Amino acid sequence: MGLVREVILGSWSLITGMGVTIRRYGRRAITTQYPRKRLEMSPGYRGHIELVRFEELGSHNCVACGTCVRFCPTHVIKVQGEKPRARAPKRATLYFIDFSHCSLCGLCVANCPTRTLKFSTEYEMAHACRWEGVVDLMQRLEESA
Amino acid sequence: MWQTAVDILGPDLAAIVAGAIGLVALVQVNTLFLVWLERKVSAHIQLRLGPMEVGPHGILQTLVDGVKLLGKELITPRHVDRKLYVLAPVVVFTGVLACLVVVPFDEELQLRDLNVGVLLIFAFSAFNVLAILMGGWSANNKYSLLGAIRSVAQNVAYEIPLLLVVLNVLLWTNSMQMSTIVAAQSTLWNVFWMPVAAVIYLICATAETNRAPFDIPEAESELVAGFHTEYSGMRFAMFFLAEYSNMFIVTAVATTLFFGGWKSPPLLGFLPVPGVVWFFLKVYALIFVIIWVRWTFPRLRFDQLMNFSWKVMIPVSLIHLIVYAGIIKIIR
Amino acid sequence: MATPLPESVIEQTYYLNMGPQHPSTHGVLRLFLKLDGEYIIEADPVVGYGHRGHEKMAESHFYEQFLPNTSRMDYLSGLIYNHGYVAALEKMAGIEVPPRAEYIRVICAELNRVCSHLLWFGTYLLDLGGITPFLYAFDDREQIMDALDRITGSRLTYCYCRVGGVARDVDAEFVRAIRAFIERLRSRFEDYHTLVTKNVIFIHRTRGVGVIDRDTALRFGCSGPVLRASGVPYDIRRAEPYSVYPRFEFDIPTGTAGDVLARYTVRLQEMEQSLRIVEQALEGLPEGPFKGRAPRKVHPPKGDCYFAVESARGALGYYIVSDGTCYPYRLKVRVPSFGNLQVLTEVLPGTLVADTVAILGSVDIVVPEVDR
Repeated sequence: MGLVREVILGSWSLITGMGVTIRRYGRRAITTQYPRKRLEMSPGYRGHIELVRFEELGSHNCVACGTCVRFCPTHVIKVQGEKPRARAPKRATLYFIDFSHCSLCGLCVANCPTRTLKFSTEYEMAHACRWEGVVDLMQRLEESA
Repeated sequence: MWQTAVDILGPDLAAIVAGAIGLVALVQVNTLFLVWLERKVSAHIQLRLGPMEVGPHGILQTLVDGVKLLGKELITPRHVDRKLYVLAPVVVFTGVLACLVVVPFDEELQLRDLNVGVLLIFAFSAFNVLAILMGGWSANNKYSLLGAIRSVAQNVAYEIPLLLVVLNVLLWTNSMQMSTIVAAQSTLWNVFWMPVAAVIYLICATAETNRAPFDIPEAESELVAGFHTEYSGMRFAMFFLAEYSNMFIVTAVATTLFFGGWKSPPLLGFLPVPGVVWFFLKVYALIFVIIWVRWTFPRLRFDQLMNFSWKVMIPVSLIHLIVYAGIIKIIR
Repeated sequence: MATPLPESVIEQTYYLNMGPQHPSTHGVLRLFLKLDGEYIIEADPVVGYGHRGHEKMAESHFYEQFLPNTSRMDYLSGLIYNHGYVAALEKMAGIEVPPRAEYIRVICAELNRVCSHLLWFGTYLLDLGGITPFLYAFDDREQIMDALDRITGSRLTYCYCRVGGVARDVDAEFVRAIRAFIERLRSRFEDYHTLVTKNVIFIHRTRGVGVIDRDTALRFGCSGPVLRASGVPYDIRRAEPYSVYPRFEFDIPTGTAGDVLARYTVRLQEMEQSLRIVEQALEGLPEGPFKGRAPRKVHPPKGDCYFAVESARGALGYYIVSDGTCYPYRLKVRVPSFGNLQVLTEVLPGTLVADTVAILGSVDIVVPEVDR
């Protein structure tokens, strides 16, 4: 008798389970057909870092202090700066990151004394070659203008 | 063209050639469609869209996949039993073609109306097991071997209740000829008067074709890919073709035995729809159910599967047979 | 007539290498199985394929630089790993954390726990052969990921906690999204139960399988849901309360059977408890700064410190030895998966190959965490 009961209860559980799946059959898909439709990244999304354009300066405010270079756990940041004239504050002229090694920890952004770093919302970062992962932030800043 | 063929080959041979070509074409097209259907149904159950890129709603996706498989290298690992390894995909396909010979698609559309049709189908469907055993054994891979062993044990266990419930139908219709069985259901489909038998048949058929939740011979989370782990390219595709064709065959047999074959459903006889359409509609409806089951349940464990067959299915089908034999004796 | 081979020569058993490349070993775990037919005689988990030397890496980085590494050990509950590490540092250096930051940490950690358990639920069913629940679980998990993405900026390997607070404040939109998510997940549990928990096949696959009794669990140092399913109500959040957990009301779900089904049930109930905690934390979320005063580089005083938190998989402990500089002298991570994995050598013998997958999945290991 126990077996009969078990078979009946078991079959009922299977039928209700099938009910759960068939109820979803006609529903709208929750996936996005990626290359045809793109998702909007949230504003807090962390892509690779980027230089901020300050309105009052019309450009970045990187003083090439090297804090980000020292804080980076994987040493992917390279900054070079020069003084436009004697006794003037230093200005960065080169800013490269090797994104292929970046772990997106955000220590550079958090510790930047002039707050000139931010995260981009770039997410299509597939490369065919290792060196394409190197991003020239100065060039990006110029292009975005 | 038909006339030329008849002139050259003679009417019998011409019919055989035409039939063979038709069957091979049916198997291919059917598999392409079924794989697409499976992917689509599973996708929609899982709130996805499935293949969308090749053709409208991805209908040509499987065709492209087939072409890809054609272009793949046939890898034969070292230390395999070469003869069996190469032969297994061929054997698995032979049975499929032989089974389709007696399936009645319509009143006139049947390759050979043998008087032992049902017997032939069940005899040839055993080829499938043989091929799986050959493939699993010869591949010299432990996962393949485990898959093959499981498959044989499973098929033996589920063939018994399957045949027992089919006997019910044979007793009722007094014939093994497919066309006669269909003709006997012109007033009442067998499913209405022996529903338990139909359900048992469908469960056993699912197990026979190694479909989930009985897919333990190729349980991907345990045995990687089971008996066809080592197969690649078109050899793998042959197993794939056979699997989906077997699905078609068991549902076609179910349609013939229980669901009235090419006959229209009750109360819909006035519709001017050819029988072959009804037949395929029924077959694909049954296949839909099998797919739906696959994408709902987890897999049974091997010993539970055997227990289920020996302790539940076989006793139930035996009792069913005895009871119905008695009823038929009284009625007739 | 051929003489039969002596009994000792005939091979009755054979070895099966499961992994490191196998669909259900969850990464790069290798199980070395001695089989008799389909029955397992011996099981030997071989770890180390994913060893990256995180503990050694810590010694050449200063304390903050190790932060991104923490979430890469257990990538499924990265925020809890973040939390444990910064909490250990704060305890060592005596840094005050503003209450808002603590609340945010708890909310994120609990959401991460739900996230991890949802993923476990899905992949576990995948191990058992049910594919559809996996996608339903991922649908729900996506909602959490989207919400966490808003504030932490990442979807998997978070690096959100900072010494003295968190990296970014939460906004009203986040709170609203999480409230909606809690409602949604609670309504979804019913479907999960109908589809999986009550399913007769599932019950047969899990009940009485892979029983880890209380003593074995304690002897092997199991923790988390594995230990609780064996009947030990040990949860670091209660046993050694940290952060603001003492302020919340929640239960510690325990099982008694110690089998796979018990571990499953414990995890599902834990998700509900986590939702309760998140709800209370959202209710009591105080205003104020999200990051307290902390030096840019911590220099903990000379000495050592052990700090444990409850990760999704169990007791996670950081042991830090400081020599007074800004680099740790030694950093040891006590990971829960390691203990949970070792118990397999005891549990697997005598079961079937099919059960191996069911048991291995049920202890919920994350291999990179075991290997570190």
